[in-house]
Amino acid sequence: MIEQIRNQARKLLEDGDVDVVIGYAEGSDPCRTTPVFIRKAEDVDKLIYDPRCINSLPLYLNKRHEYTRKGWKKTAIIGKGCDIRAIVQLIAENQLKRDEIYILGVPCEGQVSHPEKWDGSLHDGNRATKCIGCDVMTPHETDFFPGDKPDVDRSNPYEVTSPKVANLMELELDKRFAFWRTDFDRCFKCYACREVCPHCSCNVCITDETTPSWIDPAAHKKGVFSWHLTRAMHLVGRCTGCGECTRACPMDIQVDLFNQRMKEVVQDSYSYKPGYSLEDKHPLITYQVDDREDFIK
Amino acid sequence: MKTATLNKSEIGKCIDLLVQSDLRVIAPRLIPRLDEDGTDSIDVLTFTEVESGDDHQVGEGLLPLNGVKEFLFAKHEPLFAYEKRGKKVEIIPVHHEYPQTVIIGVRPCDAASIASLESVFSNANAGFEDPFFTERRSRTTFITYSCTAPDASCFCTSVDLAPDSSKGSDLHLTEIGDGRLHVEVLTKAGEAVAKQLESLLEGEGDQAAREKSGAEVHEKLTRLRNSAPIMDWLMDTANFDDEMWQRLGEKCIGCGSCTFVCPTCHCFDIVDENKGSKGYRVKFWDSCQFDHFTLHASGHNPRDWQYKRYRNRFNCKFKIYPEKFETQGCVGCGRCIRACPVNLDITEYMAEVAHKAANPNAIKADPDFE
Amino acid sequence: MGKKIEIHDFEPKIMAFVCKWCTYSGADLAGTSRMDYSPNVRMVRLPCSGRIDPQFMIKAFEQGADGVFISGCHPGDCHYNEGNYYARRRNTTFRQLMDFNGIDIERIEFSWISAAEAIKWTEVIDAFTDKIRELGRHPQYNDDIVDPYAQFLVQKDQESA
Repeated sequence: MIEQIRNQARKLLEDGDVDVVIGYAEGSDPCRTTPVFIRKAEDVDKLIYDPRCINSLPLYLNKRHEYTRKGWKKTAIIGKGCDIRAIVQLIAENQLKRDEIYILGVPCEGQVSHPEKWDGSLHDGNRATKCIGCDVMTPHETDFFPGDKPDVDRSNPYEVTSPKVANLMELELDKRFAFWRTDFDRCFKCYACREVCPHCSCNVCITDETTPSWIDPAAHKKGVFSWHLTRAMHLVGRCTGCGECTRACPMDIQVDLFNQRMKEVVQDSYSYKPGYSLEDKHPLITYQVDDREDFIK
Repeated sequence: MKTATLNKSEIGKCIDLLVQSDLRVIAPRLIPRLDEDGTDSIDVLTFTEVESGDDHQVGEGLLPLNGVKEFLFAKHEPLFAYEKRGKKVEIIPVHHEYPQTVIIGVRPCDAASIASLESVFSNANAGFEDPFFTERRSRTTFITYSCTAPDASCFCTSVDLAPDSSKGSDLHLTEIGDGRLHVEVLTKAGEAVAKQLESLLEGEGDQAAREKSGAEVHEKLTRLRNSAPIMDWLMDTANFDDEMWQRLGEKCIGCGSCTFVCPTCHCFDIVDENKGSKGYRVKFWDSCQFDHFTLHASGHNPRDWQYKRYRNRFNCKFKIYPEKFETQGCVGCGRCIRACPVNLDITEYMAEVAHKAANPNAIKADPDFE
Repeated sequence: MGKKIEIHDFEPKIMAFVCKWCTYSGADLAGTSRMDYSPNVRMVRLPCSGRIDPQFMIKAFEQGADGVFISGCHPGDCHYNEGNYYARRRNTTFRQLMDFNGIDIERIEFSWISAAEAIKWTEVIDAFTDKIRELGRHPQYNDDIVDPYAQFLVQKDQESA
């Protein structure tokens, strides 16, 4: 399978159709892979794909990461299903044009959640939570796919994968808040969760604004809560569930629980699943005249 | 130097004795998970305050995620409060608490990093002492614990340190087999703690066994780099524009994880947190990897590309600090390697520099990049 | 319409974000008609309810508000045609987020009040204030979060001149 991808990448580079191929290569130790930017056809053999490739590559297509300045007119990118959801969402939000990207889809059975859990193969003991119940094991939007693409029914509503979300909803309010207080004690506002997100693309993030200071940058409770609530709110209807924010957190805080809950809310209220349609606008920038309003006086 | 033997199983009792003497005791602990988290959950080991010896991971697990930096150099703290009354601004002092603290179970890499922080915050030669840091440092004792099982990301031996080094320690513990620990009392603060633990310490220890066990662990480190040529290579200004910085640093996303978990990184920012006419001036952790770190008021940013920011970090650790403060900037703990979401590896930079230093005719700059 | 306003031990602080074309005018009408209503509410006038950013509400709680009240034109009557529809969607999701975070969404009230509905304004505000008074001071956003460094202030024995 990877040979077909490599051949296609080689062809694209040799024909000058793309400026760069973004993919995965062997990491600095055997349990890890690393993103790689292939510019020359002779380097395509570095590309690999296996269950260690949990990185979400579309974040390099985000203008915050200098995408627009690097002069790549057309980019090829290796995408597994969840990554392609992120690309589709970026296109739906006009952050990218469809013809700027050449998507090399790959079939995915799941990814290993942490490098230290890799023991040579993917199994139930090390599969990432986000992979359970995935409906894009065969990706939905590709320009090239090795082999046949079977038809998959993706109309099922989004299912929250982390059991923690349901557990939290069963707790009482003050116990829920107490959980967040304890969990966020470790947060020191490094903003890794923001930087790995493919959708965080504001040129100046609200938390870096100092006049006025909306979100205190210091890591006291006020600053931490303010940041995480704002991040969750800014991703409502846009988060495509790659789980990178939790993976990137250096203190292992499950920051994507908010995002998972909001995905469920958006699904229930507006029947919208981010990342599946190139044209549909996300629910907070559209409206229906008869939207739900049972809480309004 | 006084030495003694301690039973590893009695560390819990040591903690109890220290807690009972009104000391604040900080030890590695596993964060208790509330309930089922899904398959993604892994145990989170951090340094936190402990109330009893029943719940600690001293000597177990490798490195707590947070390190000891936050207990000396606070994550966030107020410098003073102020209130504007008409045209006058009144400065109101704030009162910090500096309890006597013992941090137990510190690994040699974390202990060695204290000297690096001291060179900035407590530098009498440079004529400046940060009072917050100095107060905390003077009231903190470090009980260190030699490593027995370094992992694939550790590389302390590549930066002139060792998994059984006692640099920066007040009281050093090394496993010598049969569940016993060799205790070395190294400083006055260590003596004070040893006195508290008198009832649990016995004998003279076993220097030979300690050295043997230390040497055995040295062999276990697999990540080995030659750091000797790095500083000179970095001092040569022609290498500032070398193509390797762009090539290796291109995938960096500027998340700052490396700087926040690094035991020697200590950049900070100061802002005023206002509420009407009152507020606090607050100092908190910052990172050179943020895009606005070197952003000038004019809008110009000398480190405008991410690879330039990582270049700065590498220089800071391997050239600037050794040169300016004669202290090591990197202790080889490997936290940055574990934390980096895109597997940007400082030891790859080290290897590349060593390679370039040995092959000076390699390409200098890649004009096609920008 | 003189109503006796009682002062209680705990007087909640209510923060209201209202649209200027409908709700603010309605509140203004209540004022010019000399209607009494609970004085606990502090209003911020915005051009449209669609301008209300969830950030304002989070900030209001952080600055010590015990309750937040949002109001705009009725659906279909927005001065800018659509702003209130977006506000409705935004608030639907924001309420769920607050709830998931463990914050009592009884403390966030959303209503449609038009420029003629001065009576509705007084009734809704009175009811909300009474509800918050009963719920008490906001327990989650208590002093720990509102003033994170209060414990660092040196005790002052006397006020200096």
